[in-house]
Amino acid sequence: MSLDYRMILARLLVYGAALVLVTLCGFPLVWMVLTSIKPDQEILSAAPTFWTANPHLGAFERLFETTNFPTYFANSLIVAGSATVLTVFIGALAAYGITRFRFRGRELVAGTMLFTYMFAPIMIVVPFYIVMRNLGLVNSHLGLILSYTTFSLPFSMWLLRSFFQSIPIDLEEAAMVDGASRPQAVIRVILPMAFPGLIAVSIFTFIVAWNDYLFARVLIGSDSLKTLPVGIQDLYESTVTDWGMVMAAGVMITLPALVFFIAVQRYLVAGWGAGAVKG
Amino acid sequence: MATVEFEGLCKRFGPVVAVEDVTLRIEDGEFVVLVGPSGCGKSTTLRMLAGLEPISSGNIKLDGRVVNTLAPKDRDIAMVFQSYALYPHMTVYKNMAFGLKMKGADRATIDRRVRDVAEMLNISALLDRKPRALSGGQRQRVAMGRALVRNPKAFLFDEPLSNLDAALRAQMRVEIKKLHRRLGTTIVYVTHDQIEAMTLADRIVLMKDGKVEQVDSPMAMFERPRTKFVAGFIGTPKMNFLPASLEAGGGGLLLRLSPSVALPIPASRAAIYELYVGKPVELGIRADHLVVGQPDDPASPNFEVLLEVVEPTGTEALAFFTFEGVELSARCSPRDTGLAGKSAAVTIDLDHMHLIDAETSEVVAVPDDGTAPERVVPIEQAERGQRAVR
Repeated sequence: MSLDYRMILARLLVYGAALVLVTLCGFPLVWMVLTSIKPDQEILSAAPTFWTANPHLGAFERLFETTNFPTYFANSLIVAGSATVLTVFIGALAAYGITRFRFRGRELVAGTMLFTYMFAPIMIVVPFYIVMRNLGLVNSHLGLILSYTTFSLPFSMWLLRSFFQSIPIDLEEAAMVDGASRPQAVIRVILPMAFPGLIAVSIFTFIVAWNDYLFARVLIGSDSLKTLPVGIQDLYESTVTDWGMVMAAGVMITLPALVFFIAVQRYLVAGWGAGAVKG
Repeated sequence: MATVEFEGLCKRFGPVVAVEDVTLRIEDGEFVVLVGPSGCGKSTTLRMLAGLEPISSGNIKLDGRVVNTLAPKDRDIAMVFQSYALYPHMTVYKNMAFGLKMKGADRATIDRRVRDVAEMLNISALLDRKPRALSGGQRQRVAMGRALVRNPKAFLFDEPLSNLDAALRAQMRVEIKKLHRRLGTTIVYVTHDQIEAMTLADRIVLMKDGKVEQVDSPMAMFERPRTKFVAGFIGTPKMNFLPASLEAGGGGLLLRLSPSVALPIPASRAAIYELYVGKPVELGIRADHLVVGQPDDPASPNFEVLLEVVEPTGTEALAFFTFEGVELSARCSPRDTGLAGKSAAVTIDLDHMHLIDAETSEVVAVPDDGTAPERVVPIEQAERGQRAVR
């Protein structure tokens, strides 16, 4: 009896803690969604309402019709998508090279890459700007894509490295004896096995690039090239802030990341586990 | 089907010499086992043959053609790994089809070959499974199947049975032997287990510290080891070694094992061993020729010892005792387990002794004059042996 009681209590505690956590994380999101469909009077009324009696999509209409939101959205997709592809590609090559070939300075390269990840972005945004200006890449998507790739690569490479290390070298050798060239062995045997790692790296990179404000703000000037975080920030600059529209924009920013995450999160979960425990 | 040749093959990892000057010719269809303790270079040699490890110097020839720098995929050999190395994300069918697919074989050919081989290895029912759903023995079969499907010039086995339990290992040994007889493909097989080497090989290549110590048929290696290392490595239980000296006496040659024990050397061997009188030597004798109990012929050399442990194995038993500070083993009847802790006579058959020059660790060669042990070579093995010697 007392054992059952204790188990129920433990359950309750666990669920209670989970509920607190979910509320803390989720409430702002819920509030954002609710606000985006409220009439303006309700948003600004002194006594806040939770559910609105008159939901409408006026804020979304204004967002798409009176602002450059569709352009920002497309820009963000291009930049985040390209940075993700580039990071996964280079990260996989680097991680493969570092785990499979013996060369002088191998550990140094790996260590240095991790070290670069220790810098806060704000410390290097100005030097980065200067580099990009000298390369003529300021105010271009390419410059932004390269920045995000630079930032995501060290972590991605480290994550993939542990994935590749956990894949027995025998498998590759078996494939090569079986008639595959090294690239074929990598594509047909190694990459499928490292798939969870590749997914984890893509999510990480996509979210970094999608959410970044700092670099987009510093590197991009023209309105037609702005990404979502910068574009939305600029919605505040009008004399009267249209809170309904800002919240609608927030919803629209969150959606793609959410969809992407839900689509691949089962690989991500598998990925963290596989990367952490060898074999 | 192919011959394999190594000419002065060397492999160095920085200052470490892993394989040193290995020269060997493996005939078409021969089953050769590379055996030796861990770190002796046997696996490295196999990997160089597969093309997985670049060679430092020397030549590797397949069918007379130098393949030193040829990529593994172009050597047309198949390898079975110790870990099996099955592709975890592919079904058994796809694992087996992989090599043919890489070769560009058409679907129908692949399907026929995979199903034929699966049939042969009794794994037809497993074709749709993933490797993780297989037992160790099944994985082992699939790994062999993957090699067989391709019908390569040679099969390389890298300790394929070491992850199996003893019963399964014995069973797979027999199956590999049968497969070899059926296919007649050249096999190079690496193991650290001398029993595997003895049971499987047409010829054994025994390696030590990167060098070839002896190349011979299993029985020849068992009966006429060239060095103390070979003598001690091949055979279970391990051969007994005992420091000794030779002296003239009793109208012939005496082998002195202790101040109180000196045994007459058979006349046929005395002439050869004479040269070693007064030099440091060791006696090498297998437990088979060291028998607990009084000899039938009272003239046979024997001495008293205190038996410490008697281990019955069923048909036989092994007795262990210490003589002159050295642990020795002797054969005894399984009914004699009660002798443990008691003293007993041990009869030694010096017709089967090995005399080891303690300075060079080499076994003094004795010509095959009829006093040497009878050769119990199975007929098919003897035939292969002859073909291999050529």
